[in-house]
Amino acid sequence: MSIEKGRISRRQATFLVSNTILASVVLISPALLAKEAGQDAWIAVIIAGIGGVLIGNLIVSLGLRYPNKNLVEYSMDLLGPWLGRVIGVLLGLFFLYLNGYVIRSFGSLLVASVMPETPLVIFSILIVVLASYGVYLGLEVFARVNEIIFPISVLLSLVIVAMALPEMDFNQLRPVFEHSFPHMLRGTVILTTFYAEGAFFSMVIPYLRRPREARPVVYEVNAWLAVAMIANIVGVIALFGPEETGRMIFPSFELAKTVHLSIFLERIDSLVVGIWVATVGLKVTVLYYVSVLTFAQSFNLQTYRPLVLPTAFILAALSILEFSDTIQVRIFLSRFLPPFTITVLFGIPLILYFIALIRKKGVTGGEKKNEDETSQT
Amino acid sequence: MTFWHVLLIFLLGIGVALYEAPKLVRQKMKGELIAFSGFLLFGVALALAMALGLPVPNPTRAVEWIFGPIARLLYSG
Repeated sequence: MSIEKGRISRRQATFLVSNTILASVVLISPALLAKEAGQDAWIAVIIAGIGGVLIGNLIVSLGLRYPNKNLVEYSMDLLGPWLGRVIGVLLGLFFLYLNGYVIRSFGSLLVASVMPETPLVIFSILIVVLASYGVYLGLEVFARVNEIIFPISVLLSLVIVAMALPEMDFNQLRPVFEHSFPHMLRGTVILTTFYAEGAFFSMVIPYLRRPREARPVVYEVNAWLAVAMIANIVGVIALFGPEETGRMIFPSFELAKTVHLSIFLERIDSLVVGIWVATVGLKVTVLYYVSVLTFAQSFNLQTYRPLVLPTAFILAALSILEFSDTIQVRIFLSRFLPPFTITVLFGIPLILYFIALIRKKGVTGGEKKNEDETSQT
Repeated sequence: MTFWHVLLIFLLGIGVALYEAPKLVRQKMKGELIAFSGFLLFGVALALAMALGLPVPNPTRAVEWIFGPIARLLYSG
């Protein structure tokens, strides 16, 4: 019997994964990318897309060998119950930690841009309480909320970039390929790190209404990410130039500040903050849900709900504990997070996949077999 | 100030326990009750330690220590 009883559609899955990745990527990564790859950042976005497709396909290939089990369940099958549990607990801790930096950057933006007098911890507590309510209600509920919010947020972001068009100078994007390949690769690695956060999908694949649709989801997610990211990074660099962008903390937010339609429409930045609060709120909910689900599965519980409220204390405390200031968050994101995330979210599925291949575990034609199962029910 | 923070964390912890624990006891979910208590104790202890300003080991230090060599290799130039 599985812990999660809700089922989500293919579109809900696509939006959920895209939103989880985009929420941090759009605001945080343009500055990091521009610092490493300068005006060639958009090329780094394209290369990172290839990395995203690779990681996504690995996760899906592994997941479809066990179409009705999530990552913790099949790692127990592959590695034995105890080692599988260790992997589960490690992943749960990793997602808690990851959520800590997300909550922290959320609080930092609000303190830096809207409410400078409010202590950081207040924002942490508010977002954690909100997210814990979402997690308590379950996967299906927040997937549906996300289905409404995600398209609106992407559309509004594109409109805001388009409104800044008159002020842009596209000559700032030249010369192309000025930066050396290693520099570009560094930018790519940073972006791929954020894309790898979508690997939480391996916990959600069995809860798709038709798990075999997981593979198209990967490509759809990458298409959404490519459109949103290229528009964003090209807009920011054309507006501020690569050096200036690299020095900023939240360039997309600065872009919104410059937008105005004569005297009718000003201070659009508050709208951007609104979008960001909604999308990050959902991201925090998703990561929170995944970590609680992972723990419950590892401890062999019947439901994950008893763990939700206690975890709220841990998350709120972690978000403050992890970093001492915004600059440290930035250094951590560009230096230490990429090897950490890629080791955990790419390394663990890769090892599991090889073990599954060698031990010939799981169904090899999982995509077809599952189709038959769903047509019978 | 610190006194109120500590009191608030205690009250929240007791509130969560009163909300969840009776349901679990009634349904005789022993494993769930143990996991719940463990998480709650850890969470409240962590929050209390931070509110009191005690030295709490920072997980970021561990991550930086483990991945420091790779990070230096990648970003040396």
